Amino acid sequence: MKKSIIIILIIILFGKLNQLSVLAEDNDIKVGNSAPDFSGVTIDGREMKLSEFKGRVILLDFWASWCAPCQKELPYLMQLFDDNDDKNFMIIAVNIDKKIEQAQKFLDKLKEKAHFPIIWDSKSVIPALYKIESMPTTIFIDKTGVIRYIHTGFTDSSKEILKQELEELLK
Amino acid sequence: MLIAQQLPANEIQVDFNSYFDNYGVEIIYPEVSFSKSVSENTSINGRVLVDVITTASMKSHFDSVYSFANTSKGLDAFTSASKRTHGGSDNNPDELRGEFGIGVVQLFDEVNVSLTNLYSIEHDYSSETIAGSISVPMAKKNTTIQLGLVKSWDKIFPQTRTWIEDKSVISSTLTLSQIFSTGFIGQIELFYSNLSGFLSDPYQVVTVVNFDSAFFQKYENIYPDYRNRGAAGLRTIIRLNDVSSLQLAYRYYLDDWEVKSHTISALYEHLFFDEKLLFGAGIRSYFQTKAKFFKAEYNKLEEYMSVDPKLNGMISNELEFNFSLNGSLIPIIENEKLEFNGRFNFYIRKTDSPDWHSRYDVLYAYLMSAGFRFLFD
Amino acid sequence: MKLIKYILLILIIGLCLGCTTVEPWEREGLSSPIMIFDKNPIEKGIKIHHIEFREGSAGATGSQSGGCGCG
Repeated sequence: MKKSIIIILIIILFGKLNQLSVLAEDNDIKVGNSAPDFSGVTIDGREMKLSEFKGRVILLDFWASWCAPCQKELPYLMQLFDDNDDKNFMIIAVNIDKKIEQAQKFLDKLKEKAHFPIIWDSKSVIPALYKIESMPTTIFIDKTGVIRYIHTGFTDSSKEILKQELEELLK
Repeated sequence: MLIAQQLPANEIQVDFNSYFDNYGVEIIYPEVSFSKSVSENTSINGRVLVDVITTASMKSHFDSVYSFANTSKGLDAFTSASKRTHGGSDNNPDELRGEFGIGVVQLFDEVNVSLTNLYSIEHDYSSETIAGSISVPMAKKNTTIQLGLVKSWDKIFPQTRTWIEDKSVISSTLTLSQIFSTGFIGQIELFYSNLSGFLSDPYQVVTVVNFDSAFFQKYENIYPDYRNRGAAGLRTIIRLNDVSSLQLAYRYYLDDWEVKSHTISALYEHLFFDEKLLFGAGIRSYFQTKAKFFKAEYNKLEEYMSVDPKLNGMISNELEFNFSLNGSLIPIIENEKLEFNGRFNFYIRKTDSPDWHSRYDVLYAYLMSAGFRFLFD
Repeated sequence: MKLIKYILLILIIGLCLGCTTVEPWEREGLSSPIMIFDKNPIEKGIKIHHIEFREGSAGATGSQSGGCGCG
């Protein structure tokens, strides 16, 4: 019994170390590195590139209609954007639903409308480029195009954290 | 949709369950449970379950048997002397059992730790259980290892007897879940349990008959005071298409009472109406060998004796139909946070020899369940 | 015999740790209720209680698992 528990703990530790080493090898997407450029088509059919917004603080968000925390996050991002739309700030939300109708249906249910671009990336090219670890993932990119904060998941405390980070980056 | 390394959703669940069989047993057991997050990393939960058991057919049986039943501790003075009517366990065949549980789930980063305390009480039995589990996701959450430990302390105090007995159980479970692809998930589970103390059922009666010596006497079951149990299970979910999947499972079980069993099951699930209605149909087959000391008939007093049908050799089959309907599909309610659930099971068990009191060797049982879950913020 | 069991267990877990084939953005299908073991653990508990009262075996019936892994 004791032996089994020790073996399990070793395996768990090994698993965690394994994950850490994988992270350490990935030096492309980390705080301090430049955010790779990408292009995409928005839900309303407009072509756009990340580099179009250089000079602004960008919040890059990856979401899907099937992801429960994303459903809480997106309304908050709409509010965050509307509160700061007079500043040098832009949100780019990348939706990875396979069917555009699913994303549209979710957006239609929301009380607010998104006043920032939502890219529909059904082939998940952009999340693969950014090697995201979990859904949702939010990445703050500063005015010079450098990744400054990476967050996975969304909870109530995320709201205050995102707000404070935005204020700091807008300074 | 929740997974192991997330906090459980905030919800209230109410279920009305019922059981009826051809032995005349009727059980109604409503249950209310809730789960509520109290901080970002902590969630509490609770449950209350009430069993109302009516065993009308048992009443007449015990009237005749308990007037001269012997226990493993010798003749029971109360039952042998009394002329009063004895029920399933005492004066009344209707039993009431209450179960109360509280629990907490704590997240440490992505590691999920849960602790639950359960207390169950009826007029002749009480049980206190503490259960803990730790669940660790790995490899981008494609692998999850879960370790569970359960310890329980039971007290058995039949009202027609003068004694109180204890039973203690400790169980451990190790589960490994693996997502192999978006259409294939596997799970392996290993289980070990150790039971000690009074493991018998005080209301079952062993009749020892020897016609040569004209010996005829009634006893309780006499069991070993320990039992080591082990089991290994394997299950998979295979996606068939966008709206349907098939779950397949196999379990092997063995213990030191020489009970061995194989269980195979399959569950087909299908989504309708834009994933708002889930329908499931399943089948389960079970094959068991008898315990080494089980006998349908005894002709002399033995060290261990049991007539409990669940220790007999048996084959059982179960059919299940279930559904889960999202409230947004119901015209007046139109609430997607409400979910209605229903289930019907038909269970049939054939033992190698007739049951000790009903004399049936086939048990037919019908189980029905209806309830709802309400998710809230 | 016990040693073999432990080695087997470690091998299985090790193999599974190497199976990181599903990326977080590919989990749309896994979020579907048909791809989750024991969606309703309370209901499962009730079913197991009934079975264990009528059969001589217990345990290894599996744990809740699956889902999109979001959050």
